[in-house]
Amino acid sequence: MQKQNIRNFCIIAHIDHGKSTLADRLLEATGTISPQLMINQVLDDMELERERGITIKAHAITMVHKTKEGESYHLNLIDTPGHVDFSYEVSRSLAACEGALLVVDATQGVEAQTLSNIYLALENDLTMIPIINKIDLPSAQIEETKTQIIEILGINEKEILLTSAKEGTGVDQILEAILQRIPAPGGQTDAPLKALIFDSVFDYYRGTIAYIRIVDGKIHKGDNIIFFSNKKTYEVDEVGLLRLHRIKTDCLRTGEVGYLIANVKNLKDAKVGDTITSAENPASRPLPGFHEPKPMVFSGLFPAIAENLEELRNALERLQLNDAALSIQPDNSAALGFGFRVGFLGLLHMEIVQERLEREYEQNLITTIPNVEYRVTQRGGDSIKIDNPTKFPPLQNITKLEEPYISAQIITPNEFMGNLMKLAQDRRGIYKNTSYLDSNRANLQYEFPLSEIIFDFYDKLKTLSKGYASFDYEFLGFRESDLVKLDILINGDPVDALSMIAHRNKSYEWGRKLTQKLRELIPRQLFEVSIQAAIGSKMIARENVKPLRKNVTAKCYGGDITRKRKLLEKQREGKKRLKQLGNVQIPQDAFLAMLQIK
Amino acid sequence: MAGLYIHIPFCKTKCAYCDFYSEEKAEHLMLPFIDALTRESDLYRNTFPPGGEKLGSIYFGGGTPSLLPSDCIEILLQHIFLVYPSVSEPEITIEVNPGTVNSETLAHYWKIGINRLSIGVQSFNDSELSLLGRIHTAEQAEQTIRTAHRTGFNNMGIDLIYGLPNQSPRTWRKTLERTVSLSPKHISAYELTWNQSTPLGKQITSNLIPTPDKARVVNMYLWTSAFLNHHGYEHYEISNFARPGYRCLHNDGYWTDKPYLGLGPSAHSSIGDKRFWNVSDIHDYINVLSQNRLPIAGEETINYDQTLLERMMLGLRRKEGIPLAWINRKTGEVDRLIQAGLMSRETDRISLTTRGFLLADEVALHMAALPE
Ligand SMILES: Nc1nc2c(ncn2[C@@H]2O[C@H](COP(=O)(O)OP(=O)(O)O)[C@@H](O)[C@H]2O)c(=O)[nH]1
Ligand code: SF4
Repeated sequence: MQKQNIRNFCIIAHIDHGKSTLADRLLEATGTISPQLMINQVLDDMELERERGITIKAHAITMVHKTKEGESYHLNLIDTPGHVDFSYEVSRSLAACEGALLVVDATQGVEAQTLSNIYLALENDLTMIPIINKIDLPSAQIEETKTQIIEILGINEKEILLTSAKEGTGVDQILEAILQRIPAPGGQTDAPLKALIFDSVFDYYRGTIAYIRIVDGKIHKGDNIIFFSNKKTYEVDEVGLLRLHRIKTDCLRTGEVGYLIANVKNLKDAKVGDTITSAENPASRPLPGFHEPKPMVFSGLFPAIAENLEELRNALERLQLNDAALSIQPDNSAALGFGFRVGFLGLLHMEIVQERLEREYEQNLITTIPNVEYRVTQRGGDSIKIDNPTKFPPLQNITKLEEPYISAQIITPNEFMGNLMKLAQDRRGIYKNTSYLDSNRANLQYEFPLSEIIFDFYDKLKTLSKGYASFDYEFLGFRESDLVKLDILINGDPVDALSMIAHRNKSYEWGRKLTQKLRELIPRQLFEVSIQAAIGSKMIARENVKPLRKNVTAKCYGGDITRKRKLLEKQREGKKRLKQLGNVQIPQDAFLAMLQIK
Repeated sequence: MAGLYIHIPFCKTKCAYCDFYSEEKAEHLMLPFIDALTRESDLYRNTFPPGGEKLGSIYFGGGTPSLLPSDCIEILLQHIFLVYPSVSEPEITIEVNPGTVNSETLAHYWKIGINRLSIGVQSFNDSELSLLGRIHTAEQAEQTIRTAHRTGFNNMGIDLIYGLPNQSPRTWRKTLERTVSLSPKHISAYELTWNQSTPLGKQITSNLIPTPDKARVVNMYLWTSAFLNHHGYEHYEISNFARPGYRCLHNDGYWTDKPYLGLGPSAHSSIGDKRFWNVSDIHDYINVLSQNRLPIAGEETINYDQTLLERMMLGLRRKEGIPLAWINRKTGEVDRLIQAGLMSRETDRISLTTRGFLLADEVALHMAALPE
């Protein structure tokens, strides 16, 4: 397809504002998929994502659209992940587009994710088409939403489209606007090849399949190509367009979006954001914006039963085939034995991975408290990054401790501002600025230590604002912080897997809450169990689990015996799942006690 | 020595806390039932007792065996001695509920060779008795015991229940004192266990009456043990106390892995590594036996691991405990239990202390769950 007749765009929206529904309508309107065939929301195809209402993996689809005049266009819709954990992936998808449909739910108005997506789109110089969705609902506040959009984008009211994605109203105008307003791709047809990888997936038969946007030049089957980030060369096995299925073509040209298969065995060799060029006639430099996937949250994953270590390793490796952002290091713990230190993009990413391991791979896991990565400068001057509290050098050897900070925006109706500012303060937030989207909605800007928001910040935010506030963030960098290592001792012995890093001012509170929570989680047993929290050699909190006083059957004759034995057999199986730490038996979820603290 | 248990599933009215299988007002089933019992015992004629052993104890339990006409018991006993070889003077126990027997019945029992009574007194407090839904009064209970003594029953056990809702330590003490004053040779003191499906359980779960206070129940237990010890009763099993030489032989067999055969609906049997149990419904029971088939509802062959767990759980219930060798590699745990005052050790045996008895199941579980 020639450049002038191509439009590359994405849909950006806060979760549940109707991105998937609108995508469905566009696919139908362009005849890409017949309504009968319509499996709802074809773009999110993983079960888990569907349940959580998010798209993890961006995909793309080419719609062929014929105008009334009979002219044919390729509309390439590039899907974007909808969660802040994946903001780098979002930005690479946006980089493959010239335009974006900005969908705002008329009943909700602009929200934090809408805003952060707008900023990303603006950074990528995208042409935005603002669309107000769900106008069929009686609670739609079209005028207010318009005001907010005009305020943020500084545009003319006329430019805003109205739709009900559910009922299909306004879809033709949207198609029209895509053709009229979004520029055709630029790029130079005869320049050396530059193709942006905006996503990649792993296929067990074909290896890595890269989803690419040709920025300059073209790419044929049989070409020799080179990946900029790792300088590896490959011969192109197949290229083609992404319709409902992959459609093989001879060639992908400037401005086109499609897939590439080149016998790339490892997903990590086709990194999102990397640039592909020609081996014979290479471009002098890559497209801007690439960086290696950077895990932000780390946690230990251990098999509940030591013998299952290999199974867990295999499961993790298989997951990694399809998830280049997952980092995996062997780990071992005195308490939990051999396992892995796994790095995730964020807490959601972590939950998804854990859930997939448990559900799809049937792994019985013990997970340790997640933490961020710290930068530690030791005497002698060398600075190292540490993602595991047990690896912390002794405090007296440390000259400087830094932790990651983020910049966050919280969008909230004015009435909850007080609540949320208090929450922010609790979480060591640094207040920056407030702006107003309209007379009733404020945009609070804060900086936070990442560690303060990875646990239950989002839940708290939702509760304190009755669900109305929304939140988004981006990484700022490392900053010095007064941190300490908090150890938990069970019957006097430190349990490495329960250690955590905390800010000094909060360490006493954490120590107290953790010991209390552990007291609740550890079942009473034959002997008393003491739980202590300590910083260095100083004990800061203590709780005891009192010994059990009674567990006995009063009558045990004849038939009682078999019943009782069977019960004990069952309970014995349960006990075997408890982790034996010295003399104490600890349930698996105790290692995540911190997450359960309210 | 082997034991024979015979389950008699008839009761006058159902007690409020009882979840045993028994039938009310079913006199018309008694004769067919006796017929079925004799057929069932015939079917084990050459296989029981196993391995040339002899029958050492017979136990009529229930239900309320004393509701059966004593003639029926006589017929049954005669039949049993006909089919199973037994020792010369086996222990023969019958459970008796006060108010269901008179001096003639007791005399008849004595005449046909029954030499031990287990009397279901439960409490010497009338309001506790009515809370439990028992049909007798404290006075009737005492009369039954006195009559039994007069008849010649020297070996007599009294069953009591403590840990009732609202029960005060004082009323429990009175029950125990009155019991001791009647000098039975054997006392069983059971903590009340209530099942949600029983009328009493329902009243408790719907908060009509309070749940027995846990700490109080523990204290009652400890006090009971001390009190009965003081009066010359040996605390020989978690819920059982006896004057020297008067333990219940039959019940001791359950805890020491002796073979036993259970006849009657819902009765369980244990022979070698086989466990099997009968259908519980009396109609099914009679029906199946009328075709001369065994009324077995289920069976299990237990493996080494299960055997060990079972023996441990049962052995730890007894004063003599278990051989140390059963838990050979876990002596560290034994030392901790001894230190905590829950266990004591005598050369090659370990046993639970009075306080340890309260944790018998937990200790068995703990030992069985520990990695070797
Ligand atoms: N009433 C109404 N509901 C809509 C409309 N568009 C989407 N929805 C509903 O809003 C919910 C979220 O839509 P979805 O497309 O999954 O949102 P996404 O998370 O942005 O992909 C779904 O229950 C949709 O059925 C609309 O125009 N009107
Ligand atoms: S007499 Fe015994 S078996 Fe019968 S109902 Fe009462 S407690 Fe149950």
